[in-house]
Amino acid sequence: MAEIVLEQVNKRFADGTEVLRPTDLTIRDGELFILVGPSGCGKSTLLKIIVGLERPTSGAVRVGGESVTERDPKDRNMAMVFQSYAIYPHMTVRENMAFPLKLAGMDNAEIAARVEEAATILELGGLLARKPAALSGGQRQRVAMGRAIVRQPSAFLLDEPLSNLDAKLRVQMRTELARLQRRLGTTMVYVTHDQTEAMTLGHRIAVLRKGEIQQTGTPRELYGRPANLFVAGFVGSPAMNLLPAEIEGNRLILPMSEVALPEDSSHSLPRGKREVIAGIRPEGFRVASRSDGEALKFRARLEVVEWLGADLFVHFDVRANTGGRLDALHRELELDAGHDDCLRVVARLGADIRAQEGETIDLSVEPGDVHLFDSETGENITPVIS
Amino acid sequence: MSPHRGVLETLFWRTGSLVVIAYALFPVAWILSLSLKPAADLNDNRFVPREISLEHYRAIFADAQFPAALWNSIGIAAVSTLLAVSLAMFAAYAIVRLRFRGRALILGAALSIAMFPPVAVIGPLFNLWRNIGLYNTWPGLVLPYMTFTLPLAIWILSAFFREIPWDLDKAARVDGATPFQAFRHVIAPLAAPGIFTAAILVFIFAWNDFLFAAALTSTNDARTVPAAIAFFTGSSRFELPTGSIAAASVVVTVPVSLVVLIFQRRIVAGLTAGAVKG
Repeated sequence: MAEIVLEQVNKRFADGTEVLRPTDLTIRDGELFILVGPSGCGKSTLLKIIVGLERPTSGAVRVGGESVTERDPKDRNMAMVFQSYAIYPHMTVRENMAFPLKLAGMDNAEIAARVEEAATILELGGLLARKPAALSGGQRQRVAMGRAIVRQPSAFLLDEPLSNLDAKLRVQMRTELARLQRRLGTTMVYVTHDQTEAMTLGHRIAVLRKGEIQQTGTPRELYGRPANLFVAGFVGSPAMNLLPAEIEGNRLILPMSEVALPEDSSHSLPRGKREVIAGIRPEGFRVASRSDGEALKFRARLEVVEWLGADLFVHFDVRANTGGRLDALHRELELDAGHDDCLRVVARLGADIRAQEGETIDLSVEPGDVHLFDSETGENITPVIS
Repeated sequence: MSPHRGVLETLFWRTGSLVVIAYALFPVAWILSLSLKPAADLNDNRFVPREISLEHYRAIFADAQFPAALWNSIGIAAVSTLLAVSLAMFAAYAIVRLRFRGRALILGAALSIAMFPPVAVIGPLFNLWRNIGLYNTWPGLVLPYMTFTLPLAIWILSAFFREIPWDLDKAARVDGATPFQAFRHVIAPLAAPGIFTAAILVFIFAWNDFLFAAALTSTNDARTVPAAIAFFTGSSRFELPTGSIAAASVVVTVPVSLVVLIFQRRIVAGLTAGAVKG
């Protein structure tokens, strides 16, 4: 049990590339903390620095108040689950789980008891005598987990533990992992590139990009108020729709229509005319009705309609003269959102709405559901409504 | 594929294998036959001996020379194998796992040593060994055997280590192992087929070598069997020791064949494992 604190930790390779910019991070005791980001963002490097497989170029790692920066991985009492599971192919399941205990010099009776206990928790009871080659992917994953929990470590570190499983098993193991973590109450640091995994599992999440933490917070915070365009585009599925917009006085002018911003927010926005980027989540759209007083209203011609039973996704195009400004942004954020002057927008509507492809419908967006971002820096400038 | 063609193909492969085996084993069978003939029948031009006698075997073991040579052969080959394989194991592991300047250079240099014709170094080595007192000693043979087999062993073992996922090594380190414990408990057991393959090839090289053994030894102190056989004499100066040579050849072939037969499955696994990525 321990709090993990990173102080100004950075990693630079010999060739000069900085895979991790100086980072401060506190992972609280007993927390399930997620490091999420696209591949190459430095999340695995961060994990390896915590466990000691990589030395930070500078900065300090503290566990439970004690500096472990210079400590060998074997002396850190942390357990790690690798993406490849890394279970020893020449040992049986029992030997695999007993290995860390044997190295610690524990006596045989205690080892047997601990392995037995872990096997019960993970439902591996009948498989203890088997070799890894005779196990399925899900079972191997459990063995890797079992080898981690027998040690009763101060922290678990998981590097994309579910990415080698098929979709159905992944969802199942995700829930099991969360349950296991709550049951053991041990600090867990979990690396993933999958925002769904991050949102469903994590107590808190750090979103990384290009070796830099973009935002740290609870899933609700990240979703509700993304710090910048990258987090906005990364968190949520389908991704947030990003549109060019202008603010003039207290009017927000979008390509399809314009709307008055709430009275009490306009004072925190810059005066005069200003270009911004507006972000609207698919779930921010509604079918317009007469009662929407101050909402943004517009008419859309549906290009594609996807009915999923519980949801209805409608895709429509918005004409906007972006001058290529948003193209570069979309490319950078790896969002597939149309090109040239025609932006693809997706809206999530109630499944009971009957809409056909090619039809035109009236949609509305509450001004409070529009996120505003600085078009230069990408920072979130949405006024905070008290 | 039609059943007809299946039969023809089977027939082709079987006959082919038989021809190859017969071609390879005929000289061995001939030597076995010679070793079992009584001295008087040696020149009778018969493949199957008229009468079986063990007199040549008795003769070679009665002489002090052959048992001494056998002991030298076993000892020198075993020591060379042990040293070459242990050294190669660490060298290969370092080459595969550590990033340091000149990795490729070391592998290249090792390979060029393997290409080097041994005959070219025999003369200088003979003088050098006489000067530093290694002539006609066990180390005097162990050293060149190691030199010429290390490259091969390093190449085989590095191919094996390369196949082992690095994550296993890291997992062991996080599980509480020192780098050496990780190597001993996780990496070495997984590379066992490679270690066996390398060991057997080194052993056979040392066991069969004639060149170094003949040039760098002079007495029973270090002379190995292949060299000793060359120094066999007949019972009189007019007699060729054909029977004794044949018997000695059979005796030195048996241990190697046995070892290879015992470990053949591992060797086959070893020789092919590095070739194709699984």
